[in-house]
Amino acid sequence: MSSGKIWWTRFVIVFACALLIFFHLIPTGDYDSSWPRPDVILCLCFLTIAKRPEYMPFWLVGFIMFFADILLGRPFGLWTAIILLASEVFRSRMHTATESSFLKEWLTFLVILFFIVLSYRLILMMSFVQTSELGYFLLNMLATFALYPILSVLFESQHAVRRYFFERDMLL
Amino acid sequence: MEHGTDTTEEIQKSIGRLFFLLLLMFFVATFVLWRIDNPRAEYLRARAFDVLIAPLEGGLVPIHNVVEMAKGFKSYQQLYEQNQQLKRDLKEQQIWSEAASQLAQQNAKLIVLNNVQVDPKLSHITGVVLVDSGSPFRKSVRVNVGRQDGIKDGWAAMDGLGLVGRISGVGKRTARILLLTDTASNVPILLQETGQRGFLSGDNSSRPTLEFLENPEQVRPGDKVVSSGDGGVFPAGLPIGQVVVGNDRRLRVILSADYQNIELLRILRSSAPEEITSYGELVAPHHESNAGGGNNE
Repeated sequence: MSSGKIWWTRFVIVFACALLIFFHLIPTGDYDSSWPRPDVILCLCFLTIAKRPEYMPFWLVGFIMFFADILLGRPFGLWTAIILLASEVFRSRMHTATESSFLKEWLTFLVILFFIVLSYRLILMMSFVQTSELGYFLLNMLATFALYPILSVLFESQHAVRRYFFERDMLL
Repeated sequence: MEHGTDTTEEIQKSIGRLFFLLLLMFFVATFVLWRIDNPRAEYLRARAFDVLIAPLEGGLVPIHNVVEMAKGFKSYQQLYEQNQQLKRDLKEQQIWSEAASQLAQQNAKLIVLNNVQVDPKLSHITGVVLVDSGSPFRKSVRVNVGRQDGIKDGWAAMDGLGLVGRISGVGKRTARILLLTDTASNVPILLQETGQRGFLSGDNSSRPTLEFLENPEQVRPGDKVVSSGDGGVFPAGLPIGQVVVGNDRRLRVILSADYQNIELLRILRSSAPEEITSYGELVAPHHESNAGGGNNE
């Protein structure tokens, strides 16, 4: 793995996240909050940590989340700090385990998501920040949880395609 | 040799750990700062939007149009019916517009007769919506006018139909408008039919709730809600919407403003209300002028 490729992939990830944020920001007139919206950026970060941890060092997680904090109108730093901590826990869970199965990965994500939600809401409540209703927030986090395998399949298929071409090149 | 690489690796690892802790502390510190000095932090956010979003203004409008077109394709089947309907409506509208132009002429004449000057309070600046909050938990939009256009915090924003929100956070070239549906939005209101005062507070749903009414049982669905001007932030009498009873049996308001389609907003220039600093002078003659009168005699 050359360091050039790693940096290039990191750049692509940051660019994708920036694009996602700007898509969020486009005024689509959909101001009605009836549909759950998964947190794609969060999902992407954790997925990369599970599959290819070298592409997603902790400082990149911090950078992306802080950028999102500023642009998406969240309180500064809190979400970033929690995700940073949670992502490191997730990373150590993923890469110290001897056998790894997707189900285990997914459930670990669920447990960590639960702790993220709990600590985020608790700290906001303790610092008297006005929050929206918890139910909708939980619904969004459930959607994030549901998105994880979908993104995972996309990730794997992209990997499989690359391997296929690589092997064909080797044969030729 | 192997021992040496081990120690350098360990050193690298501990440096990484230190860096991680520092970064974590930095983010926690930013949250604490945000909580303590919120206006300054929000000012920094406004600056970030100025730098990041304002240059994209030229690009955002076409993207927005593409999104609108995509939405339009959904209703492609109904386009013909809609067209016919619009033609019928247009005919009716022509009658009205004729009437309106006659009234406008009449009005112009009357204004000249009265020599009326239009209240500068009622002038407005039009802003184009650049971006929305990007989060389902916050209801706000950002417009392309800011401090350099004279926008100030607290001014009311309307579309053609009713109140939309108020300015909350001004950057140099952009300003944030907190919509009435946001959880942080509380607006003093007046119910026109019963003359009751209360608050309209958003709860992240499309219909904000009515709070702090004196006699909620007197309120009937369909009553008109306007801004009361209490607190001196908004001008009084801006149309807001109509009362309904929500599914949860709370009194809510259907907003007149078209929230599905916020593109252009007029931001009303409102000056701070004149403060009454002393008592009595409004009613009784001025004390000093009294004394002066005495001297003259």
